[in-house]
Amino acid sequence: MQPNSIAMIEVSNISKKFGNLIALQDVSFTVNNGELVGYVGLNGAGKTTTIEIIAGVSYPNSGEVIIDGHSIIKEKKEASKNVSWVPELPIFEQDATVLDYFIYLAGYYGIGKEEAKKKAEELFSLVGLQGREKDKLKNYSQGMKKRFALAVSLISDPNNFIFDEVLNGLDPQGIMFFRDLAVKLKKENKAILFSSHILTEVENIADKVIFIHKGKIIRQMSIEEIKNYIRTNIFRVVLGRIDGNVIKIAEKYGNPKLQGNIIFIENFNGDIPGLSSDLLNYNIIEMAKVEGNLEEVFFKLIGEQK
Amino acid sequence: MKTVFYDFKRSFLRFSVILFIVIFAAIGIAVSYETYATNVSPNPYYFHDLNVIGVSIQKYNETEVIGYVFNNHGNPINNAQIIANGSSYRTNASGYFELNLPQFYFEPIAVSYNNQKIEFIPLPVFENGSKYLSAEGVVEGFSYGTQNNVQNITLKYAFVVINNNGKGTLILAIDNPNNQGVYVNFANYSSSFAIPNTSFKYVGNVTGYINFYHLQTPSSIEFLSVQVKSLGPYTTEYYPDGSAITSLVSGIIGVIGGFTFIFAAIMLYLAYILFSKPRDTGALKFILARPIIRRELYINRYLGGVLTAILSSFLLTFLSYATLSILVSSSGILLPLDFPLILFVSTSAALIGFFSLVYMLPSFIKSGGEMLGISIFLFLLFQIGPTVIAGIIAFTTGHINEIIQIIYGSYYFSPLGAESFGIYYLELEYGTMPAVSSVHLPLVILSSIIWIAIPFIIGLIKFNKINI
Ligand SMILES: Nc1ncnc2c1ncn2[C@@H]1O[C@H](COP(=O)(O)OP(=O)(O)O)[C@@H](O)[C@H]1O
Ligand SMILES: [Mg+2]
Repeated sequence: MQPNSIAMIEVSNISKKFGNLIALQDVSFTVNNGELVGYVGLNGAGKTTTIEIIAGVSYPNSGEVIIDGHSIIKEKKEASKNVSWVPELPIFEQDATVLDYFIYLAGYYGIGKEEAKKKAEELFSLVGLQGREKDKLKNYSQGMKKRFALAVSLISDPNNFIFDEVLNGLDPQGIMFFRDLAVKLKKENKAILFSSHILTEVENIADKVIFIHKGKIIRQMSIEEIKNYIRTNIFRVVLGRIDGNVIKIAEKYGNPKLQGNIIFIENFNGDIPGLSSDLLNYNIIEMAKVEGNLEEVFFKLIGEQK
Repeated sequence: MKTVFYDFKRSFLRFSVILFIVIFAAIGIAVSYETYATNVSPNPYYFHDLNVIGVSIQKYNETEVIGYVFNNHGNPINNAQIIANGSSYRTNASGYFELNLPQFYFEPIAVSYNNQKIEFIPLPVFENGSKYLSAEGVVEGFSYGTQNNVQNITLKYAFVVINNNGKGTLILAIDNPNNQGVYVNFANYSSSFAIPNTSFKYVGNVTGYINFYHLQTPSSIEFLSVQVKSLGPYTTEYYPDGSAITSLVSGIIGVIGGFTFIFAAIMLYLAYILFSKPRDTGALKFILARPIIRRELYINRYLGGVLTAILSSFLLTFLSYATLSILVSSSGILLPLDFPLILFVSTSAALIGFFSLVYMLPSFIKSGGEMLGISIFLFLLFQIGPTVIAGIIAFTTGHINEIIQIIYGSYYFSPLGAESFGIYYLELEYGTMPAVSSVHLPLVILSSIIWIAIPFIIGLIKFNKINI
């Protein structure tokens, strides 16, 4: 953490039960100003539950969420003014016209009708919905609803944003738009938390990733850490011919394992010319360093957890 | 507070709501007109502001007619035109006229004033009044001699009673004025015709052909008996505001009854749209993410429904009232304002009570479909339940003749009961509904308040705690 950055979203020790199901257990993390944080976990891990608690629409059984210094539980109004939430699903009143609903929601921020109309014009063109203000929400496509939710999240220009699976249902153009928006918000020194069940989605824009699994935070890693984590030292050689000696030859270069006609050499010493000349008789079809898969990181972390 | 207005607008400016208001407003106007057409048009003079009372005295070669022309407040009408036997006469400043007609002249005589016209036939006593008069009667009877065998004489009289907020007037036309005593008795509408003589009140003596007496007139429907000694009493119904209002009001009561029945279903639908469906779909969460606390959200949307109920009831009752008032404006008497007021208050209370009840449900039931199912059950239960349950109670306990009492008693246990009580009070005041001993105003008010407040509060407390 940079010394003079202030925690804008501060989640401390929140737990949440649904009946007997423990959805969240002692979840704590912070999202600082100017920080884009990915919140990653499998389906049902507890991401949405966490985010709805931060958004003030759900109560934790214990713990506290502080947004810009205000408790979302005890000072809901103040805290809510400072945070915008884009929900996972398009949970609007679908029979309203888009503009009417926008104006209605703006009313909660003390924004009058005329001002709200102006804002709508500006934000709808920003999210690419211009010309569709008179439609009913129910006639919007999934992606358009997401864009609408994004426009709504920008009404009050808050300092903090929480996006729940925001890329779901967006077309490539929408994904680009969201990335640009996220970067822009980050430049404006906002704190942004966004969840995803796909780590690769987060990789390109997040500064930090928080991993949640079965209601518990299992790890918080910066993007550099993750990249190091997946940088493997495994070498992979596909051979045309195999015999009992192959392993012995490969042992000089690391810890080999044979799978069919493929040798994986862990802790590879890096001597590619040596290895290739030693294996010349085995008719090398292909050889390369194994690239770590981002998703594997996640499974590895889960594995460690067990 | 802007958002309350939006919630109201979004509940009120909804196709179904507007449609029903328009339909019922149209029905309200249509029924007002229909009421007018069936009651007023065929007998326009029932609703005029012109009345006549008088006597005809047969002299040896002519008929002398003495009459008094007055308005619905009992005040004399000056310069009313009388046309009889081809000649025109005028009433004097005191509303009197005097005609000299041929002997045994029994042709209709027209009285007209201000484009209104009534007729009468110059019988020994005659009276033709509008239905705004509180009571009227024509008596032709014999005064029987007592045992000391005084000669029997015929005695004929006509009377009208005008109620000016309790300060009533009895106008009595009598063909044989002879200083007789005049007595009057008011009796409870539900009591029997057998009226003890002792309760008669002496109001004065007969001093001429047309006599005026001050009376204290009651403000509810009663039986009125008038007695001119030494004839027996003549009993008729007394309507404080005249029977015209009764017939006009009853049509509107029917419309409003239908409105409340159907609009309760609209309130159910509104509770679903405003609260149940948004909870089910998560839309409440989306709104709750704004700078608002749960209590405000709950109250905002509740007020949206309540204002819709109030505005709809108001529009309907006062529109019907206004239509009817315009149609009968020539009578010079305003339709009493408590008529739309009682209907408005009781209809709103019933609709709000039912709305509170079904609005509470989404706090307990997340599924919109289930909420609708239960609401529809409650709707049917409270619409037909009280009558059915009262019927069962009456039959099983053998109190069949008390069924009305039991039905009204059961209305306390229905959020929609307020409406029935409102109609009850109107019928009591203007109609023929006898007083039901199980109806007590404080209980009516208390039950309405409880039905509105308790579900509202329970729903609010629960809503503050749930996972929405
Ligand atoms: N309202 C609810 N009632 C009961 N269980 C719930 C509710 N909401 C979420 N859960 C459960 O809590 C767990 C976490 O869910 P969620 O936070 O939606 O996961 P994610 O968003 O990470 O996919 C899941 O097991 C889910 O079934
Ligand atoms: Mg989720």
